[in-house]
Amino acid sequence: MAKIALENLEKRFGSFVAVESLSLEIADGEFLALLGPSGCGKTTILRMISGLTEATRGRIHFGARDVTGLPPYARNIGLVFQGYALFPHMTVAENVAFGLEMRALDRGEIGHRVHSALETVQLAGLASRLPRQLSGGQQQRVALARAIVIRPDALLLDEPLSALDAKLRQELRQEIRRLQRSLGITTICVTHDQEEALSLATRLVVMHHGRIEQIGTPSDLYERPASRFVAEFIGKSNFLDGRVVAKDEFVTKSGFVFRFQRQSARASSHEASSVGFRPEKIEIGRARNAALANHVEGTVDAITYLGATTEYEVRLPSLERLTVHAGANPVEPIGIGDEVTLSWSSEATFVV
Amino acid sequence: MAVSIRALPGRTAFLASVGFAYLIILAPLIAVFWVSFFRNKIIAFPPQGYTLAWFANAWSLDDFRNGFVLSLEVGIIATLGSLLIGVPAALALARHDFRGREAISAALMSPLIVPGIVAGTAVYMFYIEIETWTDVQLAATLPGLCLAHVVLALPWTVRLVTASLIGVNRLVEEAAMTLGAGPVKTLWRVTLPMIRPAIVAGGLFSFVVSFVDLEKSLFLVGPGRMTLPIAIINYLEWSIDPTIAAVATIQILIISAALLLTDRFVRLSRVF
Ligand SMILES: Nc1ncnc2c1ncn2[C@@H]1O[C@H](COP(=O)(O)OP(=O)(O)OP(=O)(O)O)[C@@H](O)[C@H]1O
Ligand SMILES: [Mg+2]
Repeated sequence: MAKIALENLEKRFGSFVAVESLSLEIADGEFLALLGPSGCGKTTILRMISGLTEATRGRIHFGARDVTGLPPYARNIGLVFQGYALFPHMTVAENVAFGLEMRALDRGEIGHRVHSALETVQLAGLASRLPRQLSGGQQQRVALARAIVIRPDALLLDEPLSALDAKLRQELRQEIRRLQRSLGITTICVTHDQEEALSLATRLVVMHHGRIEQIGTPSDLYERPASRFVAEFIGKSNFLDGRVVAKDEFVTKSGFVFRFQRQSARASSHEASSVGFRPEKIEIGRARNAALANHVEGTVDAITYLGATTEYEVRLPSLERLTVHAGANPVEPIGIGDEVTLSWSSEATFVV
Repeated sequence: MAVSIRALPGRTAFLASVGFAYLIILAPLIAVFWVSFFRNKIIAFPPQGYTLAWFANAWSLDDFRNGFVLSLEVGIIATLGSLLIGVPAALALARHDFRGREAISAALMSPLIVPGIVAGTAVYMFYIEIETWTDVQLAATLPGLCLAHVVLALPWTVRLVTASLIGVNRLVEEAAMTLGAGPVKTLWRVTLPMIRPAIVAGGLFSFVVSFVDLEKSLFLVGPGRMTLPIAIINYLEWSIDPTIAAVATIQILIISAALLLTDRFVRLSRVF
């Protein structure tokens, strides 16, 4: 286990820049999630850390060790590939034992460690099966066992759960989290599922076009997005365009004045920017909530029942639309066509 | 249900045409097999009775016995040679991009395209050239014959193994590397086992094409020596008794066994 440090890491494919001057430190034992839309360079970063792809520029350190020039087999990395990439001709036990055999451990030690790794992922009973005789979730666990059994300096997971159904995904997510905590292993998990990232990681990195948009805790990113891209990528958000007119005041193009408390560094007070607020931070009702700083009136256009919450589409007089998520059992029933007032606090309002 | 009933005439026609195709392909083989048991001295229908005497006769003739042994020898050497050269060649062709890759690939495949007689003549002339330049005799020697058969068998190994390598998931090999396996260990423990069916199939095909080759061998065997196909042709010049059918039956059985064995390792229908 070790700290991982990436210094100005860059990858070009011809003239195309897949990863641009990336610097990042992952603390010993930390669980970092790397997320971003398809093609933003997530897999490329993992491949550079594991040595499968050579970095065009920059350095990679595991603890005090500079591994930049090392081939993958000299790096001691546990990598779980998106498609698992199990050895099809080997049994589950042989798959897990492979990395230990490469380290020339003695038979007894290998048997012992393979067994305990399979116990950890709850597959001890399937040791002699071939990968093709396993379900997707079981294959995923074999891949995980194979990666952790070698006691790697870092565990790299490339969309480990994307091929699984929602329920299994939830289960395995918990399992990965538990495993990572108990082993205290430095972990980077690539995903483009924001829910997965929020629930697994202590810190998140949001990538866009090969660059880091923002690094922070899940709540940092959710409450204080550094850009409109992050705000849209993590959770849902309402946005209205306009400009900052005072330290805590924003005027939309349509003339509404909103108070805000958070402004991203990139949104300067002179340039056009956007004010954002999350759908679930808005109160919807016939009367305004005077305790909250921001208000706007509108007409309910559509109502979607979502189970735990209900989604309201509200049309403002300016024809802009806002989305509101409210508890499924409103105090006063609201129907389509009703005139409503929306209220939310200045703390829940950010400018990007 | 309605669909399958309406499809019924089409299905019957399909099965009939498949059956007809099989008949055309198999009829000569069945005929040879049948004739090899005829008692008649001259192949004629209907048979006057059945006997195993022609098989005994075939084995008692030196030409057939020696031809069989020589064909077996050459076939085995051609198989080994084809694998030893073909597998590394396929690895290089499928995995690396280098100057002249297309040319080498085409050269390795060319024995499939050049007619056997032409290739036989060419190899013979090539051997004579070599001999005049270096004093090394290849024409009319066993090494020369084996070398030609290796070349004849190579395309099969290269083609089967390349096709199989293209289907191998590179990520599996990369997984081996991240687990600590260097390039050689990865090749030995992961890549080769994954393409083993194609290697087995390539070997068996190599054996079969060598075992049945007539045209090239005609030019390259030494005086007085002959492979089994040459012995068959020679014998046909003088007699047309069912001995020839008995020899052909043995040959067919050996080849069928090789193909059935291959099919156990790799579904042949998936290769072509
Ligand atoms: N070998 C390669 N040659 C050329 N371009 C490549 C290569 N590998 C990746 N790229 C490009 O680099 C960019 C980043 O690819 P990468 O696989 O890292 O994306 P990703 O973030 O993992 O996407 P996804 O979420 O779809 O897996 C993509 O635009 C891709 O087309
Ligand atoms: Mg990817």
